[in-house]
Amino acid sequence: MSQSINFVGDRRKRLNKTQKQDKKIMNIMINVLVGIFIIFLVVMGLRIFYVFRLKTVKDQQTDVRTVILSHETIEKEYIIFAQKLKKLSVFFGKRKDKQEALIFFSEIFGKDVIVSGIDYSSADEDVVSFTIKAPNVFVMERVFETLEDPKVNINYPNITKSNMTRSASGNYTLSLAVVLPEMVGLPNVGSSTKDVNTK
Amino acid sequence: MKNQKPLNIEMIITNRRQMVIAVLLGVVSFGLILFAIVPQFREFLSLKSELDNETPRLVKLKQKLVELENIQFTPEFAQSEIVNDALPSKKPLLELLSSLSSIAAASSVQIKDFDLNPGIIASDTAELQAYYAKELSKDGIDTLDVSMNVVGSFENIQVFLINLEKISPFTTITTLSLNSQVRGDDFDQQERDMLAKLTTKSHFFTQTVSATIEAPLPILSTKEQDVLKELASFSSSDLPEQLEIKGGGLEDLFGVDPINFE
Repeated sequence: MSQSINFVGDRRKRLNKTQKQDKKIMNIMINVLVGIFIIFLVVMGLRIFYVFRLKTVKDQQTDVRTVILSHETIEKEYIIFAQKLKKLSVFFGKRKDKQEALIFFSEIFGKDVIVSGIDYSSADEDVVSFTIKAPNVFVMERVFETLEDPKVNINYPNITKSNMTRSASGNYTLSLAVVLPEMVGLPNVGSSTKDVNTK
Repeated sequence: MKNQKPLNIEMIITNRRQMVIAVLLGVVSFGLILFAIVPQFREFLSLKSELDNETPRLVKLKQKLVELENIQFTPEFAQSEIVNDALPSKKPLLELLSSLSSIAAASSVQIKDFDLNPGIIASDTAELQAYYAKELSKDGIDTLDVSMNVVGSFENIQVFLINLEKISPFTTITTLSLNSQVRGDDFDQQERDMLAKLTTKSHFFTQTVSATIEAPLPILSTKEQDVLKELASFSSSDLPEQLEIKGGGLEDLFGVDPINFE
């Protein structure tokens, strides 16, 4: 019986081992590729979905825009209406401040004193000028005392007195420039007021 | 020096086929990531970002459409005529005259020495357009200034002044001076015959209003709604507007015989 010597036995064993490892790596790589392909499909699916959604949104926008444009006349009228109302509310606010000042001074001086002139036309829109008329010097003295009253100072701290005159019949007139509350604190307010000449 | 063995590709393919396949799979995977997934993902992100921008825009547009459809039936917008009367978009001379006439009659006072400042009609260099662009666009309002003398009793003049600030077009008194036309110490007699020197400003709207299709409609504040209520008590002129021109069927308005050529 003859004995055989296998010179490549060790090499065969190493090769088998390496091939087993290669197979493992190949299997892993197949799994990786499948995984990557699935990711690719998912990403592509998402992209197609978003393309579709974006198209839907843009189509809807176009439709809504068309309908809005068909309401253009109403929109135009409403915007002008709202703008006008905004302007009017500003005018009302300013006028109310002035009317309140007029009522305040008419009441605080009493019945003997007549507000014979009003001037709202100052360059500074928040200044109103009054001309008041007192029948005699005693009433006029009372007017001065009233103007120093804390009640007046709290509401209208900036009042400028000017142009006091006496008529032949003994009536006294005096001009008052009143800064309305919002503008209190600005310098030289009294100097910009105009006087109303009631004589 | 050792001789380097040449790379035996055939042997590698025969003995390590699976490794070669694994390497090829790796290359394909890398290529797939680099040339397919990354560009697709970038495209997806860009689409998502665009969609995120477009969706709120659509919501805004839909909201505006709903507002536009509802606004026609709101009680506020139903009063737009009152607001247009109070602040017209043209110089309201006739309307002012008509309103003044009616309140003067209602207050039993007489208007004398009516003086009108119509505003700028043309400048020397015909730069009216530039003037309007500069001056009127400041606050979108122009005024019609009027001065007048009002004669009547003190009480009637008071009523007139109260009514004057409740007429359309919106008018404010800018200056007022009260004098008695009777001299002497009889205050009662003086009060019966008073003269009020007035200057007023009637406002009209000159602003150019612009809006984009996506801009939301303006919302009226409580203050503006109060103004609307106050405007409801204003008296307007009710001037009839000439909208129809009735012709007499005349072909030749000047009655000139047609010229015949032979």
